[in-house]
Amino acid sequence: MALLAEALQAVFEPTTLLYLLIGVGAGVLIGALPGLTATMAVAILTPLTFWAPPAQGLAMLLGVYNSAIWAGGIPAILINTPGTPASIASTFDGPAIAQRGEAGLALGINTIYSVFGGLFSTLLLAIFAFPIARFALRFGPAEYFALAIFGLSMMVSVSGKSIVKGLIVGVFGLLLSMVGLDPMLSYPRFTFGRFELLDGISFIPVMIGLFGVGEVLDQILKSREEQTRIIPRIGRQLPTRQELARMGPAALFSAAVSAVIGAIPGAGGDIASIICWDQTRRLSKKPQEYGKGSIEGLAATCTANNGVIGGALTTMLTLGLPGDSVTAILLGSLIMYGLQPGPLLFRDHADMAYVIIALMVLAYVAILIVGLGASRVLVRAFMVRKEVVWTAVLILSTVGSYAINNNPLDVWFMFFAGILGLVLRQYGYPLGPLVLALLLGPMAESNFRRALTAAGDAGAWVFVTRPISLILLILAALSLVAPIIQQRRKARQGGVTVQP
Amino acid sequence: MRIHRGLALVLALVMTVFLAGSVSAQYPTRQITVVIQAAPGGVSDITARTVASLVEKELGVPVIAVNRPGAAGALAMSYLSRQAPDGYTFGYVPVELSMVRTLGYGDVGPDNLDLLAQAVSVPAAVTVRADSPWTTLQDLIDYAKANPGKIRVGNAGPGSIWHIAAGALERATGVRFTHVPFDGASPAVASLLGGHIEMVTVSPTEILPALQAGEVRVLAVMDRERSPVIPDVPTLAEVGVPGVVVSGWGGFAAPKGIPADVRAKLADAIAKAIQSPEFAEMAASRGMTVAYKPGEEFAAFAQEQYEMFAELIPALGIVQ
Amino acid sequence: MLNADVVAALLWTLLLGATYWLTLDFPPGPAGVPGPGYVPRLLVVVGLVLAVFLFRSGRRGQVEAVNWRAFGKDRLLRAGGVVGLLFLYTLLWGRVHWAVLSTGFLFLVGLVLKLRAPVALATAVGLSVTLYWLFRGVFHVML
Repeated sequence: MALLAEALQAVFEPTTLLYLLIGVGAGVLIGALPGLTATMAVAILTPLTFWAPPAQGLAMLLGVYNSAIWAGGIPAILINTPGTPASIASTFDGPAIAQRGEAGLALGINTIYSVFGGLFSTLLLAIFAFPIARFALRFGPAEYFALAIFGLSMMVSVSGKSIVKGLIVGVFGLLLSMVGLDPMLSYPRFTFGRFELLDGISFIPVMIGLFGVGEVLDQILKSREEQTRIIPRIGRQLPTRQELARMGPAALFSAAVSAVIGAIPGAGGDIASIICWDQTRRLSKKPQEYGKGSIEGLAATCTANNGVIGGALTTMLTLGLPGDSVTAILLGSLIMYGLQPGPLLFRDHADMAYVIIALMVLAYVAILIVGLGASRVLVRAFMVRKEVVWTAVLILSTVGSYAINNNPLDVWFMFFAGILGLVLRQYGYPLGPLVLALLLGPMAESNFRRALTAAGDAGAWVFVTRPISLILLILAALSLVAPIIQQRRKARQGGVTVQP
Repeated sequence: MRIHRGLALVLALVMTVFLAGSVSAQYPTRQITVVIQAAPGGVSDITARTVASLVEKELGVPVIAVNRPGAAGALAMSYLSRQAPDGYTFGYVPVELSMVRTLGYGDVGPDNLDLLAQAVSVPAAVTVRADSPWTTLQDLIDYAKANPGKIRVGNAGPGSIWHIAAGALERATGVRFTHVPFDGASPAVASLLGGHIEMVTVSPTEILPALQAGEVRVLAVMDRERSPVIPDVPTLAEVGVPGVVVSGWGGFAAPKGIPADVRAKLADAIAKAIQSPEFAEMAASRGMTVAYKPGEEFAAFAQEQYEMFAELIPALGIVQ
Repeated sequence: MLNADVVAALLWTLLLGATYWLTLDFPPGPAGVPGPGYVPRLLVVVGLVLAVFLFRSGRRGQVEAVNWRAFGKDRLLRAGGVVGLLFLYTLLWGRVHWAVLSTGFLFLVGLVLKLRAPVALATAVGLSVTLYWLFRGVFHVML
């Protein structure tokens, strides 16, 4: 309790609150610009926090992270273009609601349910992080390997229409992640003698290329003139009591499910919101409205993309395991503050765990105020022509890729990833498995070999004789096989596999 | 690549001739860049930035930190060696300066740079779990001799200084460990506490919280003097293994060939920064020992380390 | 029948072959422990299985053909123009002063995207100058 009081004191300092507000403000700008992702937002602000004490630095980073994910829903609703990948599913219903003259309501739903999802998952973080951290000390290399494999098995469920294509992209990503020094012997693999490649292919430039430049090129090819239709009017923002009652079950379901999805390494807001959209449709009384402007559908997606954050933070903080690219950067920042995430964080720096929880709550208070107060201004900002936005994304992508390491080679990675992103999109190859592979590949391989090194005579049996590892591997096998069986069955019944 | 290096050399020569007479008299007149070999954050970055801000005060011109991480710092250090030797670019050099050439990460060593001053030193601490049967280093060595390969030692990555520390101990005492590389020191410590490995050789700061909680036991530090972070722990020499000193150190260096008066001014400002109370405070908070050495002494030490690593690293089986 | 999936399967197989060939130089691991080449070779095997699946489904003709022509000549030219400009921009990165290079690049991109010249110029200058100030001045990036 003394720790909690101390944490609250650190959080309610004026400078900390100012950092939080700067973070939230920057998050709105970056998150709302299509092509600029939450990852980029956090990456750009990270250097600003170098000199701040941990509580203040985290205030800015958590502020920008949460707010960018929320703000990504704004362009998804207004111009049918997700501001960040996490808002992809908000384009299923959001634009239709806006086009029928209820843009204000759609934006209101985005704000209210983002805040709801975020706070719900923060509550789960507060409840479960400490026990998980204690439990996680039992995780050795074998368990971490099994965990990574479990994360990688999600490839199948994020593959969409073609599982084969998804897996090919995944294997390609895994091979890419092998470039550089190997984790056990430091042998340079696939580096062609170039020292710049020893650390491997930089993850963030590849992400920026795939999702920033690749997306712009795709939009140039496919953009229709009517997409820039001016929103007729904004209308009311707050939902009525009846509407709230209608959206309630969908939102609660999404909040619970997305927190769990967030905790699974590799599954982020985009996957969670698509899954929640699809599942709540099955549960809804009016499934026929889904995809045509259903407020339930929008509430589910808006809850889900912020709802993953608490779960993702739980995994990152307790296991030291970055579930996605944003938490990977946050992990780096925490290490920079002298706080190594992992099972020991919650024991040696328990006060910081409370600080993080308090900051999450405050960030959502700020988002609620900004979101409901400023949406009129935000709508106006989207009168910018999309050609101008594309230009801005192109230049920000290049500068952003270079700025991380001051390395021109990273700009090339970004360029080729952009082309790759365009080609893969055209030929129906999903990008999700590639991201999963790049994130979790190194972890899977190094812990595989580390476990075998430490196992001695036991050999490969360590993976199945240790209960936690065995359970995780079984779960991985199930999640690998289940979607395939499901698809087969559907195909046999002559039905069409519907995947948004 | 080669053409670039040649061009840079020619440019550097031209610049030296051109600048030597005119600028050095009133050096510094413009902003100075300090190249950091690691990503923002972490010990190297904080150390270099602290010194940068103190040098800025001393010389009265802005000192801008630029991070160029990659290849264990080799990218930044060879970049630094190719810059104009005019005193407007210097950089942080960690222990890896003496290692990367042997490791094959880049063609740069202590002889490619003009070393200005050593700043810090962090010894390796030989650590086991508190519930392990070994209470002294001798116990551990005896057990390891009787059971070759049974003791699993976690380190911060293959070819990292903590890996080499365990290797040096292995060689000095004639035992055989099983080396288990982790992605950083902290996961190795967590694995030690979880009972997945028997021992780690990492910095005292990494194990300090667990030590205070009574969960680990530090058998020795691999330095000439005891660590101020854990002053009760004996050095290796005190427990009968003399001559093995492995520590992570860091200092500052400039491209070769900077004019003597410029060098003196810059080295002087850096020396003052390292010996300042502000720097001491930063080092203490990060568990580092301030270990100032002037340029020539630092250069000799780095060269000595270079030769030691050139012998040790291939013996550990991590060289290509 | 040579469709997109069949071609992709063949290219993928080539890539896997090259990968396998590169792993031949990798040193073996210590006794009983897989070395640096183990996982890459495993992935090559998995990849080959997937290639067979893709090839078969391609032969069966269950491919949605991507009709590049359907995008229209105009949009293809625009996208191609942007890719070309981005390539040049990356190539010249670090060789020309950043603000100048970026202004030129963005202006040309604006023209390719059919922005009116004054709008394109204003966008280009505005973005380049702002970003130069932000990254160079505030973040100390070596632009």
